[in-house]
Amino acid sequence: MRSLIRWRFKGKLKIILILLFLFSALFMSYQILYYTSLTNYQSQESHKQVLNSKSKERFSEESTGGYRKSEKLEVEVIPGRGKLVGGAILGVAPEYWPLYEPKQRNKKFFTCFASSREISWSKVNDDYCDCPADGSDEPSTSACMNGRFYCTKSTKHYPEYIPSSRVNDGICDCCDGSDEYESLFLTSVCKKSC
Amino acid sequence: MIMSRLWSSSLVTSKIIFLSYVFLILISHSDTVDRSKFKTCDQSGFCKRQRNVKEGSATYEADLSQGTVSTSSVSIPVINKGNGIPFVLEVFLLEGLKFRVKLNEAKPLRPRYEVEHALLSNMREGKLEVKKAADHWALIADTNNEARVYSTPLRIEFYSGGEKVTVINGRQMLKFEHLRKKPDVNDEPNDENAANEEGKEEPEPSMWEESFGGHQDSKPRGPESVGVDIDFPFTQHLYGLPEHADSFLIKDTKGGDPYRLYNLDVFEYEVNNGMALYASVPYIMAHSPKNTVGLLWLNAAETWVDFDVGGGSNLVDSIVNLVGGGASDEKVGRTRWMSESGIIDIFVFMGPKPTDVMRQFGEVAGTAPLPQMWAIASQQCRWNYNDEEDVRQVDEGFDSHDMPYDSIWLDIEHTDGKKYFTWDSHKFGHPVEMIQNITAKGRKMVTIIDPHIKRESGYFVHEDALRDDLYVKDKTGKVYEGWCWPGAASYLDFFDPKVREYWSSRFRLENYPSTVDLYTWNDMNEPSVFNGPEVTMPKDLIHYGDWEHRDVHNLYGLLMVKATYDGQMLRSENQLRPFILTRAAYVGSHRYTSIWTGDNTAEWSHLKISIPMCLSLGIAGFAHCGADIGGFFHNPEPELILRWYQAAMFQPFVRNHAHIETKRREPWLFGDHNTALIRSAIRKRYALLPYWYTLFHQAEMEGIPPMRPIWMLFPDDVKTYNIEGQHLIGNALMVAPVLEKGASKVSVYLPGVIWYDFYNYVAYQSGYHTIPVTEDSIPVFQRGGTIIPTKQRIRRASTLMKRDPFTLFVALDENNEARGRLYIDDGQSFGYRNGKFLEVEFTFKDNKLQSRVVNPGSYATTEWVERVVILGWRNRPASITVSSKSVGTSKLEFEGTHPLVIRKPRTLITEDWEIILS
Repeated sequence: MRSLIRWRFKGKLKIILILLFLFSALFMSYQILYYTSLTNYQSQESHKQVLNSKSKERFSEESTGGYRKSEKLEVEVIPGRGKLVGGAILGVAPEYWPLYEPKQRNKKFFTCFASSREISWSKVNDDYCDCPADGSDEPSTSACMNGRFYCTKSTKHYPEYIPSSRVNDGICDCCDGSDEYESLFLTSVCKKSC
Repeated sequence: MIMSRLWSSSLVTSKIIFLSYVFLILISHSDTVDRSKFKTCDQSGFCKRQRNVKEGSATYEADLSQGTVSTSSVSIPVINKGNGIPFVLEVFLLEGLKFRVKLNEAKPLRPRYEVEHALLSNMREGKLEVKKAADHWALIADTNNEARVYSTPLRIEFYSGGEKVTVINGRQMLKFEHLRKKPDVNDEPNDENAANEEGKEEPEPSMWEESFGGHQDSKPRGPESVGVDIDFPFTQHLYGLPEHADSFLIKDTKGGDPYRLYNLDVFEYEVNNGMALYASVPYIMAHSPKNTVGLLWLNAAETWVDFDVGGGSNLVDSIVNLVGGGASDEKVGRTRWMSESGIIDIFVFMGPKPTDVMRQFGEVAGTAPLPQMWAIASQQCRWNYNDEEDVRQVDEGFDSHDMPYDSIWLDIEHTDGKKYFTWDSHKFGHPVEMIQNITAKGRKMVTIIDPHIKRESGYFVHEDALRDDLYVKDKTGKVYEGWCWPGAASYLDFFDPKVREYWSSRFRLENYPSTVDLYTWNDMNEPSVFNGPEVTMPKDLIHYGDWEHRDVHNLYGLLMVKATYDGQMLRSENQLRPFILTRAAYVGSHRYTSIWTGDNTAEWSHLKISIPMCLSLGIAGFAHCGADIGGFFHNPEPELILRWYQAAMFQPFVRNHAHIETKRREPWLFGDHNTALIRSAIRKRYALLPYWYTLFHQAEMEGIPPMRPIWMLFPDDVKTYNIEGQHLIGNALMVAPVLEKGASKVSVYLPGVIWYDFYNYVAYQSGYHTIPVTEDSIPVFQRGGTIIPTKQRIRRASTLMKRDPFTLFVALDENNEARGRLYIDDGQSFGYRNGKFLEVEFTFKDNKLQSRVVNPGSYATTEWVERVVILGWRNRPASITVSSKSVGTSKLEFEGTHPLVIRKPRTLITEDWEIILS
């Protein structure tokens, strides 16, 4: 019985190691790609118009120990579009930004990715889940159980995507702390680790 | 004797013996309990003597002419005419319709033990009116409730609403063995030492010594047992008497053994029998449509209880009943209670409704305090998580599989050689850092702390205990030495206040490298002694106050958890609510601890029995009860663990735990498909946490457990009296878990009027239903007329959900009305006892849902209402508007009619608001 378990364990270990190698290879190649897209995004940013927002949320001094003052995130809440930080839609990978740009696409409705259900643009990122199948209407918030949040930055040790349930739960999951933009209840200090 | 000599002969031999013992425990996978290790009634001297008592044989008389009366009690001399021994009977009335009956020797040779610590010390007295008649005294509590003490023969009757509900010694089977001097072996028995007790019995050899399984019980104090019949003339539906792996409805014991109450570590216990288990609460409820009473037998010694409630295993009786049609007419529930020592001390809770009895019980035994929020979420345990890296990986595993959980537990292997309050320096070299890594995600840790102390020089607890005299002694006054996990071990005498104080101080962070986020699991506290009689302490050991272990056995675990509780209070300076999980318990333990049903087995029958076991513990005060998910021994098949997860998420205490020799059992190890199904089950628990938490608060306030028998809410519906596989959570949810392998449907009985499937909203009228189930199905129904607060955003841990918005489920009754409550506080501190909490009442009436804060401004929170789901709505409303201070008045979007989902009212939970459907 014991030896059987050990054999199985050894077999598993082998597979795990192979998978690990493949994964790291993939990850490295992705990192290179990501770097290029990141530079693209930064060059685009200067052309972006700054949208007005009713409420401007800022990290408070005491809760952002990890950030120096100049690095504070400014979160702008844009109804019908999302939470924006420095022009980026929080929780959305740059390649998907067009799907959240109503004016560019000149569409009356937002279409849930999985269910193809159409909802008004005001319901996008309004902290209520209208696309429960995939959470596609709430990429910036924690409203959907099946949603995912894109970290504005990721590293080898920090993920690219996290489940929506980890947005604003008081724990830094993204290396830049972008998942914890409601500093109100930031219980652990986000150390900048990117 | 031979055994003990062998053990003391040399350390080497004893170690070998011990190791082989442990080895045997670990490898023996026999499928059944070893019954030869545990006594039957016949093998227990006093039980045999007590069980031989015939109806009508008792010769006790009360001398009413010599009785005295005070405002709340009477005291009446009683004499046993058979041998002239005098007794004193006292009957007390306690405020809130509770009677207490005490019978003790008038002039015992030595004091007899009266149970301490179990009940509240500040019970309030009632005001009694005594009416004296020639043959009895009537003790009147109020117009509906009275007790009557009859003189010849002695019997005590209790009346509620004109119905005789309880009779003590009505069948004259009282047998109170008075203390006596040991007769000289050469002497003939004579009348003076009353060897011929009650003039009928021959002295038995078991009176002055007995042996079992090679263990000698010296019994220096001789026979001292007590026993009496207690009948319930109004019903045969008796419930409770935990802890037994048996049905909630108590079974007839004719032709079998009585139910036994003696805290024991029973290896691989079997289901459906009355053998003793880890906990003993001598408490039952007797129930009928008209009346409910509770009965507490306050005695901490070994106790056996016989039941004559019909349907016994006696074939002749059954045939007689069947032929004569007597079974249906017969409704007297007869019981007889037998304890090895102590006095007769009985509480009768007069009801008249089940919830009244729960309150009355709580006023005497206390209620279970509100746990921290994390403690009512999902916990992960194993014997053992091997080292810090293992802990990290399991914690990480929950995150990577997106499964919430709230604490990870370490069993005995985390210690340095089973020395509690220490850490294995190789495997757990950085305990504080490890705990902090877990708590950084809002989770907690729990370590096991057992009462057996390793006898190793240099171990501080052992050294302190020897120096300061903290151990239990044997009959000669020497420190008692037994065997348990560490090998040679001694046991702290928690009956000594200085021992409890010492124990409590061990939890201080300077004494135990840890943080205030590390909580405690007190196991093996029956106490378990591997080489002791029936795997526990010999009865002739001596505790603080010169009491024999015989007198106090069932209290040992209570005093241990009390000291642990005080320790957790001490280290947090009374700020944080303690959490303790115990295996052994007595009445009152619930004031300090949560409980689980011990070392169960990975079998469907054990999943099934977890429901009656927790219902039974629940009515005895244990609000926070659960069973090891999957079964402790052996490996559950995927279907079993899935169904177990689904059922356990609707039980008060939730923990996955397994034996060291089982396969790893983290919830993602049963294939992707099952992982998704288990995740779905766990999420259902987390969604309902606001409701559970509200119920746990109610348990502290009113003594009503969150997990309830159906008849507690529907006392008149006799169809609910025999249901063992279904239970309520609060008054709003009915759960009927899948308890059979390969089941495609579940038979359900729904009382009342209308219920809604909580997950697919199908409406059911009252009656019997066959509910089809899928792998993901847990038949759960919301009762029409209730409102349930939930949170639909499931986080990694419950503590991270405290700012999240609510979704309310409103299930309408036949009048289109519903009500519900929500209780909120900080989830961890004692602030709520100083008013720092929020209580909200929801009412749906006249097409309007109203939320009213009962105590505005007491607790600050930003929680809001994101969704309202209305079940049972008939027509699509034209419009829905919300109004409150924070949102003003505005129209709301909505979808559907049944369910009618109202989108985002956005009102704050701290404000009053209303939603109008028009």
